[in-house]
Amino acid sequence: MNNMNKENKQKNININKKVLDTLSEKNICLKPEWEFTLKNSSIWILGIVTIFAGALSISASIFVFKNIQFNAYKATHENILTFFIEFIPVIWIILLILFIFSAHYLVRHTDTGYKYKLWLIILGSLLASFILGVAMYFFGFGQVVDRDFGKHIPYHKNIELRNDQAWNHPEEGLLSGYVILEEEGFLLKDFEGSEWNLIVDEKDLRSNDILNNPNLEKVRLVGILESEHEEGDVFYVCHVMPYTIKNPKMFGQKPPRDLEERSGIGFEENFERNLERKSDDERSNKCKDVRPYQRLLKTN
Amino acid sequence: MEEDFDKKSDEELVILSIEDKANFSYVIERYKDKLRRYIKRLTSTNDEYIDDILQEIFIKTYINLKGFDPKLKFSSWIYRIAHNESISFYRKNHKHLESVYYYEDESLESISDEMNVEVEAHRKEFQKNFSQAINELEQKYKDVIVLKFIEGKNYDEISDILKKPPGTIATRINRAKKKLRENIKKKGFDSYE
Repeated sequence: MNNMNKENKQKNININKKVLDTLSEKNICLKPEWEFTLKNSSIWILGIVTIFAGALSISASIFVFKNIQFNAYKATHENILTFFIEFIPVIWIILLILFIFSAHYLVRHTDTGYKYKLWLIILGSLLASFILGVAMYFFGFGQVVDRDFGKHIPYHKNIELRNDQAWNHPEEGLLSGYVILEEEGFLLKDFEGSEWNLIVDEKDLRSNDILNNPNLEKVRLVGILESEHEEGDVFYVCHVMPYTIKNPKMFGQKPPRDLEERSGIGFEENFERNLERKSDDERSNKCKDVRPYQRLLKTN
Repeated sequence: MEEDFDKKSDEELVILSIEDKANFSYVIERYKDKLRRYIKRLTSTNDEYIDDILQEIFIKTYINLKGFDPKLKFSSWIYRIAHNESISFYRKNHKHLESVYYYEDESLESISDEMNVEVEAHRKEFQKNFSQAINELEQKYKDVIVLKFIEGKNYDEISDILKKPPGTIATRINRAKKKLRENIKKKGFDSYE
């Protein structure tokens, strides 16, 4: 027993001496305080950056959801499922999840972050990102993120482009673009830059319905492709709908510059949705066979 | 002089060690036995390795002294370093470790009381089997059993040592007790809820 105690004592003396000798021999010094401060501050800053990035994703998601043209999904898609699969802002939702989990990882690596439960950190980060994201949306950042940041993300199409593409199937009776009133009639410039001569027949569409649209605003048209030729394609209009980008305040949508120069007629009244739609009996038979038109009629 | 140091708090010793490297020997003196036992309980390793792990723990502790957050108990902080070093060693070497650590009688008494296990009839056999039952636990359960019932740490201290929320620690302790009870039962000892 005595021998054992002696042995332990010897070991203890040894460990004390060994540690101090190693510290001296290898000239091991204390890490400076600033290294710890820097590490901790960096983690907090990165955490805040990820919450901020999450907020940008939320503002973009709100912008996308606000601009999903749900009221006309029957015209563009077979059913609601295919519509949502195409329009849901997957990339922003994935990025939001990534940012929230990064924020969680970072918070857990701060001095006291481990004290909080996983769900509490995730909920807290999500809430912070959400509040900040809503504020950013109201300052117009949603569109900037979806359109301008989105450009740099592979395979990402912003909501405006997706809407344009969904409404650019003239052979299927769908067309969108800017309406221009010229002496010889109405023109429409689509998002690819092609110009279309619009035929507006009083039976199916009162000219006021197009004129009521604020000048140079984008519209969505349901109609019939009459002909395609070099002087300009012709599109018979059955139905017109506004194409408003719902984005508050400073970053509102503007028409292309070349169109601004061709404007000149001020339309004071705002377009009223579905204004031109009349009862089925009053219409000509021409539009009745147009598939998107039929499907839209069924929604009312 | 040495007596003066003995009366000083851990936090005071930290400040004194920052001022003078030599004072760190008082920190080592205060913790070497506790940590030696803790490492042994956690890794079931031989004495020859324990000294190496212990040395590494004290060197890391010294290097990071300025990063010690006084909001934390120093003992929790040094146990955290010890835990990380021990686990890191165990992960690297557990395939070569064959020895089983036999927990001391007084340690087992606190667990057996907690687990309501009858031990008086076959104490020696119980010590062997109970030690094996602890060693057979998953590492995360073994960690909390050792800290709670053998090292005598409270939930907050365990939370600080393992860097897990106190709620998680409470859940883990309950699960660990359940698993340990199952292990004991397999070895022929009865426990009651």
